[in-house]
Amino acid sequence: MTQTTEQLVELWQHMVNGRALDRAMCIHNPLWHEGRGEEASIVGAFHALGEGDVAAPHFRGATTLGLMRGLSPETVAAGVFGKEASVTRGAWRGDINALPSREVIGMFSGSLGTTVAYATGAAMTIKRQGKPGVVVSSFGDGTSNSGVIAESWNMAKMLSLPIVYICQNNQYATSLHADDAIAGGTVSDRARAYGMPTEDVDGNDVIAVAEAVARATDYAREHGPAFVQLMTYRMGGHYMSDPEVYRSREEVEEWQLKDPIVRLEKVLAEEHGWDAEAGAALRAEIEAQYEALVIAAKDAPAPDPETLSASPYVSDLAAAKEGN
Amino acid sequence: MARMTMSDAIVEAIRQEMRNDESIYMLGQDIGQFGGPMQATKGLWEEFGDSGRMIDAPISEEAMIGTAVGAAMTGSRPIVDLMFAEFLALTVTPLAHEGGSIGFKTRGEVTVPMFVRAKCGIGPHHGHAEMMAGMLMSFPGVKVIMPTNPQDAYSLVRAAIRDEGPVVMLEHMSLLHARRAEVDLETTAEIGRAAVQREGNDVTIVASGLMVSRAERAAKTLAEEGIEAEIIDLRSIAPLDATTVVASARKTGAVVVADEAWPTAGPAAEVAHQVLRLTGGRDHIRFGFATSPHTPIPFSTELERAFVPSIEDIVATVRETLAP
Ligand SMILES: Cc1ncc(C[n+]2csc(CCOP(=O)(O)OP(=O)(O)O)c2C)c(N)n1
Repeated sequence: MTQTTEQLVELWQHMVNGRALDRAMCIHNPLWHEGRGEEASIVGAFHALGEGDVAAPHFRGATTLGLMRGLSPETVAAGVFGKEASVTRGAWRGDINALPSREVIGMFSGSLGTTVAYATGAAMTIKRQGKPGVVVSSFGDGTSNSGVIAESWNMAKMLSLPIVYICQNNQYATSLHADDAIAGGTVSDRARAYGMPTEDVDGNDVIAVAEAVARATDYAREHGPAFVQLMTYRMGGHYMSDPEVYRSREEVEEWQLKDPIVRLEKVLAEEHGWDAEAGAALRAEIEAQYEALVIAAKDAPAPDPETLSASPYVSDLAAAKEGN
Repeated sequence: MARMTMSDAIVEAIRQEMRNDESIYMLGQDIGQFGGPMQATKGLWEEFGDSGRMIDAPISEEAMIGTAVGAAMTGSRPIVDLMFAEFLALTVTPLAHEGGSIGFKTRGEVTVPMFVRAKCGIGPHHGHAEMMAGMLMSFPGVKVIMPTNPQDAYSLVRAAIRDEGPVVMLEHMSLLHARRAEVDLETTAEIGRAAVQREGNDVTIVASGLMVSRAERAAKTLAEEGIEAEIIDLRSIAPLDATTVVASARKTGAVVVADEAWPTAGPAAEVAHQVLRLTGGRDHIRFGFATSPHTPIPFSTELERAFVPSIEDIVATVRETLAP
């Protein structure tokens, strides 16, 4: 599968949008979990999904997916701050579930792991309804240790469900390194033990990611679950107040040289006649645009518990206050 | 005596107990070099890391608790830092359904001396606020403590580590790094004893966690109106000190429960149940509830604020309860 210039530029656009939102949130939101460095893993995993397919992103990527699915950046930013203009009107967190819908599954509490079971359930729906869709379910290397994933994989294999499991391996679960935490080799070795075809891919190469996931979805639609491990790195800390005592500056710098956006730009320039200067200018423009809208989202009106009549939460609150 | 925050006091109590008892080890995510989530284990790695008694856990809550139950049954005294109380829901079979009952089912031949730490409550983290108190309370054999000040935190932790059954401590995130206070390092506490935090004759406010300090401030407002509130800090949610509550209720004739946990089948319901059970309804005690609505905790800061009982809510509930 070779990508056209147009397709590659689209991938670039998604990555740049995700990075721009990320950058602005790092500046204006002390509770943000940065995803810089993982754009290729997120964008490459989900961009090929079409109608009837279901995306279940890892939390570090939920906002980028929201943007890819056509949610306006204003709405995504409002969700991160829990504002009136967000999809859930402040009821739930847009940073980990930007676009809850029948086609997008994200976290519904702060507890990691269950999303993978829900994604597996979505694949059951597709199979039961005899529809042609496929599910892509991403999770971190840390989350892969959660027991519910093993149980879900077993069921997916048992029922030959159309699902691709993706480990977005950024090598750390907060401070614990994947090499220390994951027994039995790698997550791929575990996936193989369940009989899933697996691929280990350079997660900072968006083209390689997109191609591997496309192979996996092709397989999954026909035969059942497949697995892809994306080796990547989060350039920032786990969250904004991470002291990062568990890794060296050299390690971070080494990975900064593998920046997935720069890497795609190089391919575009060398093989597709990309105008690097124009690209850089466009990127700066997008970053400025996102920063402005993030500032606006932060200052935007909060939902009013009394007037949000569309929310079941409000009637429950009123009832509770009346003592019902 | 030493001046410390509640978080310092918890760490100090664990340090003392670990020095005294080799059978104690600690398991939790990021409790090593990272120093624990919200500095929950600050300094313990430096002292006990080399001896292998501080174990960085993978994201495997059910196994963290399950192995602790097994270790406790066979001669260890594990401490599990579960990070957030919402993860308790992932661990209910080993912790509560089985762990809480083992001492009973073996007529004390086998006990499960384990101590589980879990953060909860609205606060700086803006997330993971769920307490899961009601869920834990429904399982016999599980103790649940919730300190509100450094001294109680220190004393209750020591008691909890020495207890022969599973004890879960709910650590309110708004209190952990709040005010410092003198801590007497020789004191231990008895789990299951409430404290009368303020004396008064007109109404009994029963609270735990952040609600204790909100009740104190509510009491100041009420005192200006001539209403003297007695405040009971439950400290131990299970077992619940019904004797102290009922004695106060008989004195004041009115009980207002201020509670941040879900109101259904939780601490508020249990307080009312115990008072009714012990008085048979014969003492004409009035009841009022300043509790959260029975809804999931919303995300938006403003909706979250409306969810958790405020000082004004407590004052208003007292007024309504005492109104003729
Ligand atoms: C069940 C559960 N346990 C622990 C946590 C706390 N926690 C939040 S993010 C995180 C690390 C996750 O690591 P990984 O899955 O590799 O994702 P990454 O953060 O690296 O993107 C942890 C331990 C959680 N949210 N849920």
